[in-house]
Amino acid sequence: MIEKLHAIIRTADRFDVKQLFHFYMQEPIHASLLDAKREPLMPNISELEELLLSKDAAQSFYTVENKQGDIQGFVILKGVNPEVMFAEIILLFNNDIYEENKLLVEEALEFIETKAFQQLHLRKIITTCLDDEKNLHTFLSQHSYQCEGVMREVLFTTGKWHNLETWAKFNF
Amino acid sequence: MSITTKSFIRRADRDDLDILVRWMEDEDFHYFLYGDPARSPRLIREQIVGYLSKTANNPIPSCVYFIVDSPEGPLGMISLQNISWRNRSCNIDVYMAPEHRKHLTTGINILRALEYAFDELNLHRVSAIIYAFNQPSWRLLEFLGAVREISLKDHINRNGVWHDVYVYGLLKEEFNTWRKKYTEQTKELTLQKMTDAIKNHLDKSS
Repeated sequence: MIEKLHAIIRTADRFDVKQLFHFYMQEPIHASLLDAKREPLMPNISELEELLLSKDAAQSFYTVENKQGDIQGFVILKGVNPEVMFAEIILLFNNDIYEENKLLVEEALEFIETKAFQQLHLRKIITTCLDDEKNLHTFLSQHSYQCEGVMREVLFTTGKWHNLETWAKFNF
Repeated sequence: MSITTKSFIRRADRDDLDILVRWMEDEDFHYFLYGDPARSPRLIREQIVGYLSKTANNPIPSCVYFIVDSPEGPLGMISLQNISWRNRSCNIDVYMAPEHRKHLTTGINILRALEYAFDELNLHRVSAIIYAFNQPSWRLLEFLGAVREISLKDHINRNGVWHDVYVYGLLKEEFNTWRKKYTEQTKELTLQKMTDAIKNHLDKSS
């Protein structure tokens, strides 16, 4: 468990499953929870429990709590590709938290970037963001992420098409 | 002036496996298409066999493999992969055998595959992931109306050099605009014309 000034970060475990499930039910949909076809995943509780119990999760799936011990979200390092030295990061937080408790998300981001760049020596991390995730978009642009482009009309949900942004940061 | 061709596309079947495997041994197949050079050829083969048998009779396939064929034999392969019926989208992959890399033949058959995607499968969007060094491919897609939406900087490594990767997107309305602009030049090349010609040929030979 890592105690920061605003956040407590620890490996996710199966007791976090309900909070994780909550993110799959949220509107707007999180880009990071789409599959390879950009379709929203609809796992059930037991599937998520299985995911959290897996060895991969133990190495890359972190729960972020506030100082009171309430789960605020998750940070994930996904698809580490040692050959091209990049990975995807996932910031899974409620939309409001980027305004209400930005420092906590910053600490979570710093934690996952340190893991990616300093421990795993990756050279690039990428993340995605849907057009409805306005606060995440702003947050990424404020933290040295470069938008590498926007895939147009890639997801159909809530009766309309959505664009998907790809953001990247290099380890210079 | 309208253009004509003897090449055509057809659904790949199990009899094509040998030629597909031969193409897979081409260095360019790995260099341009399938990212990881260390990927096991057996795994790719098994994957292709799986697709060929899985998609044959499936009314809602997740991928469609086309062989670009000709009276002289197969020229290449075009696949529509990751078909999402919810988002009405797919990815397109194209491989032409080294001796058949003619821009025109490739372009005509990509056009037909796109017609199949938009007019028959009723898709809304076709994406393509192309390495920056594969200029002929992305220029061809741009000619067909696709838009470069993402430039992933220094994203893959080939022979020790970092290269960008481009993601292209083509929406149905953009494709329709393109078709309208080139109606005269492409009138003999459409999927419909190709199908009619095959039917005529079969009628005559039976």
